[in-house]
Amino acid sequence: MNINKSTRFAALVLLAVLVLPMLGCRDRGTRNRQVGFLITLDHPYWHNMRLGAEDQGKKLGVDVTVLNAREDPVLQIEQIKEMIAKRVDIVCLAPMKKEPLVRGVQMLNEANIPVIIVNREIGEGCSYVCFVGTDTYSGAVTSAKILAEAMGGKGRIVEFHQHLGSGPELARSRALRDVLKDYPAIEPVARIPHRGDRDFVKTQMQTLLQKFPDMAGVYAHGDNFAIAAAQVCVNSGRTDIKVVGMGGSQEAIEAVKDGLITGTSYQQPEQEGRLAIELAVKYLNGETLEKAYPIECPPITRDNAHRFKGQF
Amino acid sequence: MTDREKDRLLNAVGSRISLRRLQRASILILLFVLGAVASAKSPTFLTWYNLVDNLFTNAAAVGIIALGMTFVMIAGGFDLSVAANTAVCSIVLVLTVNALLPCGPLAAVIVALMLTAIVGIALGAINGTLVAYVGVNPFVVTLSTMFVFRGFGLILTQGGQSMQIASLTLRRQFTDWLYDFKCPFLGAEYQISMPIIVFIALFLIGFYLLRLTRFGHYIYAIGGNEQAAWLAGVNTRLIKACTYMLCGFTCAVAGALFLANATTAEATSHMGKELDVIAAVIVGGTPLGGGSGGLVLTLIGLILLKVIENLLTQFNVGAEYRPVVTGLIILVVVTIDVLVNKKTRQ
Repeated sequence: MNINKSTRFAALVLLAVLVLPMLGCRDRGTRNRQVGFLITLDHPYWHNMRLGAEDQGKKLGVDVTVLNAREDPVLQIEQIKEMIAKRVDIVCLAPMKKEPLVRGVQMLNEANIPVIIVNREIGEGCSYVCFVGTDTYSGAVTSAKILAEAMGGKGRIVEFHQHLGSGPELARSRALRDVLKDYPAIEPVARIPHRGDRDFVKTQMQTLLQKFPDMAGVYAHGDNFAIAAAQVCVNSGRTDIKVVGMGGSQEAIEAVKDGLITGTSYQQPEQEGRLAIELAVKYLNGETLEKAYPIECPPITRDNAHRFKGQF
Repeated sequence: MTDREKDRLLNAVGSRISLRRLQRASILILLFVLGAVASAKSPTFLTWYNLVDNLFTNAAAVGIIALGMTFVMIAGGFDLSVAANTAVCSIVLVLTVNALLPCGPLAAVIVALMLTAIVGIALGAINGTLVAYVGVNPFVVTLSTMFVFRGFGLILTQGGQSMQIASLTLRRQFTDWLYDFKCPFLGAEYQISMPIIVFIALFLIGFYLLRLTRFGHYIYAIGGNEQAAWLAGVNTRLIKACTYMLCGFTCAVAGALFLANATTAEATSHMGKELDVIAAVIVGGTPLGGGSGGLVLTLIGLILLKVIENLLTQFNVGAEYRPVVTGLIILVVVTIDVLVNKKTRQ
């Protein structure tokens, strides 16, 4: 038998790559408390939530396992099973979709693993310890009000909304409708789903500018898309169009300072992650918790932008 | 033939067998070593819940698609549209169940399952016809149909809404029947779930088709040398088209299981699963060009990838390292394959 040297080498490398890191893993005889942190990582917002959670986990001496559901509720339910299999002590869950994840939380209920709902809402029919998260609705109301005021309460607007049916999308769309009740002269003329893609927003915005030359405002679900839309407005010489985003990213705060976008509302993902872990540990220590811990979103406009530092 | 030539020939054959065996065995050895280290290091790895209820049950649905994909790939084809097809099938299932609810829950589910199977096969037939009868490259065909099927999904869900079975009791029953149903295997404590049962059934049927029928032998023949198979009188076009339809059928089955598990059908679900499936087939040892391979190999490849995924969770590995590890494994396994092939050709 004549085994190729390189074959043997490749097999050894494969073994080494896989096995060595595992040998280095801490023996779990003295096992820390395990927290499952089930979120998505498809936006810098979530990365910062994750950093906050992991850092807080280190401070409080718990192991945080972060899994990325990539906006897919089907995948997230599989990940919940993994958490049950891993016998974590508590799960912090950002439900990718409101209704579908009810089954996931029910599975955790059956396995007697407590759940803290983070950032997005969950449907009826399951039990959880508490909700912690940005008050998406009030943040969106803040942004919508900035837009309405800046437009002087009249004109036509365009809305760029995100993943249809997701919690934030529903809340932000509702916020706009609710605010517009007080401003009857403002007329929404188009709703465009942006699917998390700036280029797409730019192309759409160019088309919309042709179609609605009297457009006066843009309400974008997310700073990225507000900035993309505003850049198109500036390039077309339409600096009069008011654009608001929501989130308060570093880029957006700079854009507000420069006057590229009119304003945004300030969300604090890192704070959200920290608070979720802190509450999880408190619960495991036997403390009683409130039912909801909303995190406020103050408005950012040109007047106060210098006082904010973006968390993502 | 001189003695020397004979020797060389025998040597070549001998080394081919042993190298092949070694390569196949290496994946099993790797699995075993991984399992042993994991069991020693993590108290929650070697448990019935983790291995059977979690790992194998989650792997079963993807594995079912991998069975269909193995047929396509042995015949030298390729299918990128499986994940999109699965998503469409889940959506069709929900829509038909909802539409047929007045006829009674059982009738609705049975008719809907049949219709879903037809839709899966039909979408597979689109791929099959374009590849086999029109002669377009399978990569191009299935890449395009992937987008088209995703589009179908979006259209059927009005732009990406979550689709759920409207009746709450039926939604629960559907999950009970197709996912949570457990078959006592070794007493009441050790039970196997429905997806695993479905997988085993399809695996046995697939094994029979591929190894013990003329149809299966034709598939290998086409993958090995299509021209030769055609000259030998095999209806190569029909057989190739059939492999895509089979693959479409497995997508429909997987779509039903995914729906039962998650209780929701989404147009954008399973993004990237087509690559997981293809990875499982390739890691198992079915080459991209076709002609060899088999279902057992695919099963081993699938389990290897899923065990590694499970271990990454068990050992708390960050989300950013996961694709790197999976990619490296595919790369190393395929590289070894190429090296072995080169060696045997020398």
